[in-house]
Amino acid sequence: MNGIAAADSLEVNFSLARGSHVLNFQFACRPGMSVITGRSGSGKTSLLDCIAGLLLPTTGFIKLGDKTLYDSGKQINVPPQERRVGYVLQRPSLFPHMTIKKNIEYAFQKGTLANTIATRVNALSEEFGISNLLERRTNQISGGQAQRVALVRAIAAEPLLFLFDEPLSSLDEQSRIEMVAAIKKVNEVTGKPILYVTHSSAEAHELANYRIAGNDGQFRECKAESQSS
Amino acid sequence: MIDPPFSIFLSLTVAGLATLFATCVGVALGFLFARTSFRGKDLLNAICILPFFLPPTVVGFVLLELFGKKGPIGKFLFDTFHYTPLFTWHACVIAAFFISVPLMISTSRAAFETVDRNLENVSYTLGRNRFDTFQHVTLPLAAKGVLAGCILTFARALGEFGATLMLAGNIPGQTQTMPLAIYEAAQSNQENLAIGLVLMFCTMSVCVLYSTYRLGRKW
Repeated sequence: MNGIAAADSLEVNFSLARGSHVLNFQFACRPGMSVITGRSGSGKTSLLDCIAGLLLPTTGFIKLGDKTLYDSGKQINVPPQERRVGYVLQRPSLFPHMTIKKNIEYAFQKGTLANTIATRVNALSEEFGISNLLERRTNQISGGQAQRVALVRAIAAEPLLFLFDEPLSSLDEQSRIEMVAAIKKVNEVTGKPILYVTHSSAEAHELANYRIAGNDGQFRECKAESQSS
Repeated sequence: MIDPPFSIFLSLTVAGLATLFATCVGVALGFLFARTSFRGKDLLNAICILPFFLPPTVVGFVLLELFGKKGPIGKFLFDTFHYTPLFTWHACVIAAFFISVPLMISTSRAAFETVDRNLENVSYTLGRNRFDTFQHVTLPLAAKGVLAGCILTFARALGEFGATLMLAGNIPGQTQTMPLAIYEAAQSNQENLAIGLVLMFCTMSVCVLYSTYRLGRKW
């Protein structure tokens, strides 16, 4: 689609019935930050849920690289655990019964060597400034720190695509600045496509390499933006 | 002849085994009712909870019909293994299980329903399958509720009387649990023995509840 290299791209063309109206999503994402804007309730989160495999589209297809994640025609629906999609939610969803370190370690595939996990956890923690939090419980850190931990945990799973659902919305100003820096770092370090949902034009302007806008239930790609970082 | 030490031992064994079986069945059904949607779910849930609302003698009668030599389960067991649980201590466990399992199902279901589904979804997106997610996320987060269910189940199984009497009888040294021993002591004017058994029963229950609460707090 649109001449995009298949290996690292996300291609989306599906519809989702919601009550009496139908949402249509048709766009492609290259490596870099694709920011999705639209009013509250326009279906932005539903879009991410469909891509992550947590919600079933009505018809159409979703392709990530050369793998089909969903295709209604071919009756393909890859379960979320096999999609390799890193999802950071609006509210930091850390496992409250685990320490920060355990939260990150949980993202590694079963069978990964303990040494490899320890090295990678330390490297990621260092890189994103959360080394001092590793032994703490989730209720002993701030919202901004929790969101960065959720980000690191998502990276640790080595996904092929990142989904961010308004990750700054519940943060104070200082935490926002730190989180924006961390998200930009993900963009630089991983080189994977990132779908970033927001209803803030300022956020979209600051982060977007590409923009996807949702109007009247139609989500389409807009003109390319210059890289802001 | 009432045998108090045997009754205490039998009651604890029966309540322990009934709680163990009820926990396995109750957690599985509680999770099923909390996390899945299928046709007839509410009806199945109602049937599973039904023994809690029926008088224990009614449950005992139904179990007698099921496990009797002419009942579907009893006939199968007798024809296949030449075995009948009736009037053995196994019947005490069966009666205690059916009477107490609704508590385990209800509390497990409530516990699973309070677990944030976003956390389970995050676990899936991190590459963990349903079993891993259940083992490492859902169950630990529902553990306190499940533990509360175990306490209630154990307490109910320990105090079971009516269904046990109908299914296992009241045979001293064989099927006479503590509630049955207390009943017999009271009926045969052995007041001091009855008082002793009641005090022992209360002490035992308090010890079990106290140690479980302590365990729950440490957890």
